[in-house]
Amino acid sequence: MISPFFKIILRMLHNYQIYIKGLVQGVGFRPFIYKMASEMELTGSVYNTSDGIYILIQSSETNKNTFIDKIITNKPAIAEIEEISVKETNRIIPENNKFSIVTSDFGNNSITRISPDIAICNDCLNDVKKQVHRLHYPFINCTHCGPRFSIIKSLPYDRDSTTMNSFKMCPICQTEYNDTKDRRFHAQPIACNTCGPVYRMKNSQGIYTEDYNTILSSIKECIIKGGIVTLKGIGGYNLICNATNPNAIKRLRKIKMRPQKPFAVMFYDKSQAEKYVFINNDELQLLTSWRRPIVLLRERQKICSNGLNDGYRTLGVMLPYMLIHHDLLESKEIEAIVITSANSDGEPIITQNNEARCKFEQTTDLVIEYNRDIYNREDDSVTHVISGKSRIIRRSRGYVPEPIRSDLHVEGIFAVGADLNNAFAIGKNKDIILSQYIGNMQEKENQIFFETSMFHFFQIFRFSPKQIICDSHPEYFSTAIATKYSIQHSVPLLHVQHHHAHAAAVMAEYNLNEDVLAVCLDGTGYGDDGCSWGGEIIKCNYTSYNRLTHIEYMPLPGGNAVSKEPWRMVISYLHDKSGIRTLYPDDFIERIGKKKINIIEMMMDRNVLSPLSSSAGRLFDTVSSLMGICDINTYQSEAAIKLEQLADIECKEFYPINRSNPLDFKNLVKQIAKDYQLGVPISVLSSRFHNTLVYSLAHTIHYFSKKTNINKIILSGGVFQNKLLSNLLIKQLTAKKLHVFFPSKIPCNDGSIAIGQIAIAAALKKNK
Amino acid sequence: LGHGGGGKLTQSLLSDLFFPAFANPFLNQQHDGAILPVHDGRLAYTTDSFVVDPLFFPGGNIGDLAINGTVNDLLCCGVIPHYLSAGFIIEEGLPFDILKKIISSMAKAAQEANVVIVTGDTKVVERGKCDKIFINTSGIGVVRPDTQISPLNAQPGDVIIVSGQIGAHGICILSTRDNLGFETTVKSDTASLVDIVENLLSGVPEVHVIRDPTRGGLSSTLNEIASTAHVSIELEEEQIPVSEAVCSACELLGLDPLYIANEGIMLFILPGKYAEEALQLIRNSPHGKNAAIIGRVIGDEKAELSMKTSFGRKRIIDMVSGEQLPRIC
Ligand SMILES: [Fe+3]
Ligand SMILES: [Mg+2]
Ligand SMILES: [Zn+2]
Ligand SMILES: [Zn+2]
Repeated sequence: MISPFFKIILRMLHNYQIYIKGLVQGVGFRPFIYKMASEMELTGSVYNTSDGIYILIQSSETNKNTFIDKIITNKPAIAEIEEISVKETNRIIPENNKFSIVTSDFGNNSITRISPDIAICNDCLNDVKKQVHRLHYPFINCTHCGPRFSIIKSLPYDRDSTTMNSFKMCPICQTEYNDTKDRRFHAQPIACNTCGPVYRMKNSQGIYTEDYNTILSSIKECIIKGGIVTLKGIGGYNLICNATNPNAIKRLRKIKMRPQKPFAVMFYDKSQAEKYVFINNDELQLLTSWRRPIVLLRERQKICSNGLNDGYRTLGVMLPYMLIHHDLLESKEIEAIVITSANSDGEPIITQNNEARCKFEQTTDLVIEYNRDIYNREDDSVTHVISGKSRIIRRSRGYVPEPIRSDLHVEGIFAVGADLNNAFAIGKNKDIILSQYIGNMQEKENQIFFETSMFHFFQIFRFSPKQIICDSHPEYFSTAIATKYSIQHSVPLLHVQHHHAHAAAVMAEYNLNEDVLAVCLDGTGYGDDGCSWGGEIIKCNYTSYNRLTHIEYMPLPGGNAVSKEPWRMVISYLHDKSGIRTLYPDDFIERIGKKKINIIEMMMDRNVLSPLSSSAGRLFDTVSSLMGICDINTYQSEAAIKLEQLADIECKEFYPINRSNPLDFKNLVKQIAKDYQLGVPISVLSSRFHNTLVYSLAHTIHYFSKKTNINKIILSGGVFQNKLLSNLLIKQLTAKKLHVFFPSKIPCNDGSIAIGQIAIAAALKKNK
Repeated sequence: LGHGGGGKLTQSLLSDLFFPAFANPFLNQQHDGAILPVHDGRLAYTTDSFVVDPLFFPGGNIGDLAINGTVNDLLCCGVIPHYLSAGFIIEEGLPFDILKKIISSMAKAAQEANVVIVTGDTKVVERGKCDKIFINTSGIGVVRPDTQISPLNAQPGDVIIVSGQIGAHGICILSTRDNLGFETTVKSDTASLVDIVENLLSGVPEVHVIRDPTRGGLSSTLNEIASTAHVSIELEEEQIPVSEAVCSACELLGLDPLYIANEGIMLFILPGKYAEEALQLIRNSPHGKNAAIIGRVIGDEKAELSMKTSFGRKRIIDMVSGEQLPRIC
């Protein structure tokens, strides 16, 4: 018999369904809901669906409102709520006076967000010192930390759909997993010393050990002695060595076939790092965030006398994100480690145990593996701070597969991106999901990486392309892949101009569905006139663009070879057909040789293999080689980066800008050549160059802004990785009351081309 | 040379220049066409047109090219070349001396390749209607008994042999035409390779593919073979013979020797077990001294051409359409 009083209460209660979309899976959301509902004594259930979280509660209206407010204010740190919808429902709630977590439900086509990998949290760092079954357990994790994207094979995010599926939980872990009050309630990668993955190391007798302490001390010993260790990380294998040891670094360079490019360094914590670099608040936030990217920081003093980051005043720094990193550095016997991907430079990071053994057992001193598979390969992400905002240079671990939410319907669009710093993207509903950094598509291994990741993305996000987008460059490998796919699967193909895509990517990040002015400065992109573009000011929206002006065309003597050999551009900028004595600096002539210079001049005069280009990247190359900073790039943009590094940031001098055509820099280059010959210091000349370029650009942008009545300015293209240039230009444009939009969540280089391609395609489709 | 219009001038060209130079019983029939004896077996027939600027270049001229090109095309079918036709389109005003030089080179090249020019045609056109001289040659030859040579035959386990140093012709033309002033002149490699092919085919029981990598160079030819035969091809950068002069010219020009035209180079694809034997046979011929095994055929449905670089990495070598456009951002 139900009492009459109880009946009244029953009438006041309603059944509600609450849908939450966003980053809500794999971040401890269901336990959080469970805890709160139980505390508030609500009955009902919560479960993951393929597009988010579904909650069913029986509650009074006031309680329901409190419940929702609490969800929003107290949500787990990493979770992001994008949409929350509440409705009354007729769905029956089992009358057991309890709140429960129901196992996953496979839903419709839409998908929820998958969390990126999360650095080990402080609670777990404590647990390894206290929890008996997890003492020193290196693969400890909880609902707030641990591997996510790197181990996921399909949705919804459950243990079975990750590479943890081969590990059977021990009874203790199982209890924690089921215990709603436990920090590891439904933590999918839950593991402990009894049941989880383990490190393995082959000792000098060829016998394997799995004892973590032995392994740890072997690694330490090896690093202290100057050795190189191959260590399996989160997204792939790393090579590590002592950051203070030039000989170890020299050897590492040989093994990686990476002659010059700086390495990143891992410090134990902020105070260790601060001995060597300056860290401001924005940088600190980035450095200590759960994403744990590499952050490029200004050097205070050199950590290694030579070979680590020669010619640089910045250092790539990161903090530990796996327990083993903490354990290696905590005792401070090792000041810092160089940590880099295990591969030949330019190839994908190795993920397979057998491949690591085969490639690095001979060449390095120690190979440490563990027995959980890496399903999605990821590099460390690289970031820096420009004008008080975090900017991403290489987007991978800790960021992927976080979507860019657009206000366009992008469903079914697959974009292959460009050929360098490649990343592809897929469109789900309104989400543009960018793949991890893939690299240079000319490398066979990277093409395989591309295809594997593409397959994984299609599978994980239940995606099948209805349209495919590529760059308009006819000779890109990515274009070839897209064309082939389009034919084989009868999917329509759309070509998108490179710089329009650069602009559209930033528009998508800021949801700017309107006319904007875009400044696209990069190395090269295929232009509509068949020339190589790269210093463009365009007026555009998603569906159309109009090239307003560009850096004056210059020949590229030797075509493709120019981007590797900056010295060619010096001749391009300084050679005068009319026979006026050319101003090559004496040391330039000495380094290159008169004969070679003559031949290059003749190539240009006779228009042999000298296509025209408006590239900003090549302008930087010119100035760099002109002053003897870098004649030949051993890695991408070396000449330009070193030029920036040498600039004296206090120097405010500049050359007069060219009023008749501000983007014609021939005279600027001649002026620099002259002053260099006269002995003006490189640091001053580099600053004057940056300053003059910025003035010329700001002047031009201002002019077109007034002319077109548009005050939203987009800055995009790889050249904007230059912090000095970006800071100066943003400052000047802002002073002119212009709104500047600079990519923050996505790279400004070709790594974001795929996003722009998707946005353009979606907008074109809508317009039809 | 004046504009003839089929009249007296053409007649005198024929009797004063062509007939004496190319003299042979079939041509001397002075008929509307050549009448040739029928052979047993199968005939192969090919044609090619030659336009080149400049007409004369270190190592040869348009005349050699016209003979060697067609002869080599026949050789690629596993054929012993016999008869050639030659058609000339000549721009009014071309100096007689030049024509004479070209004709005598053709005669010499034909003699070296052991072929006879049995029929021909000449047209002189108004200034501007053609560029100095265009030559077309066609060739007929007899397929060697028991040979089955076709790009379709490339299969996993085969090796790729190149008969000599690559890239000479293309670099020679480019540097001569534009007078770029390289320190060493690169000579064109134009040659007919009858002896190499004969030696190889009579010495090795199984040769799958023979191709001459002319326009588009090694990369185009091998890409074509890969896609026709549905196999992948893997080259070793360090094994590919390139002369020092071509190498440094390529470096300066920003070109990749793999994409540069050759006129006296053959590619052979044959089973790995005959690789060394074949290499020796090829090296026995004067034009084959620098022959090398440069790669192998692998079974891979992707049908792509890749190259292991000296850094041990694998690069995809695609077919580039025209001028190499900058790709790097
Ligand atoms: Fe770009
Ligand atoms: Mg790397
Ligand atoms: Zn944790
Ligand atoms: Zn356990």
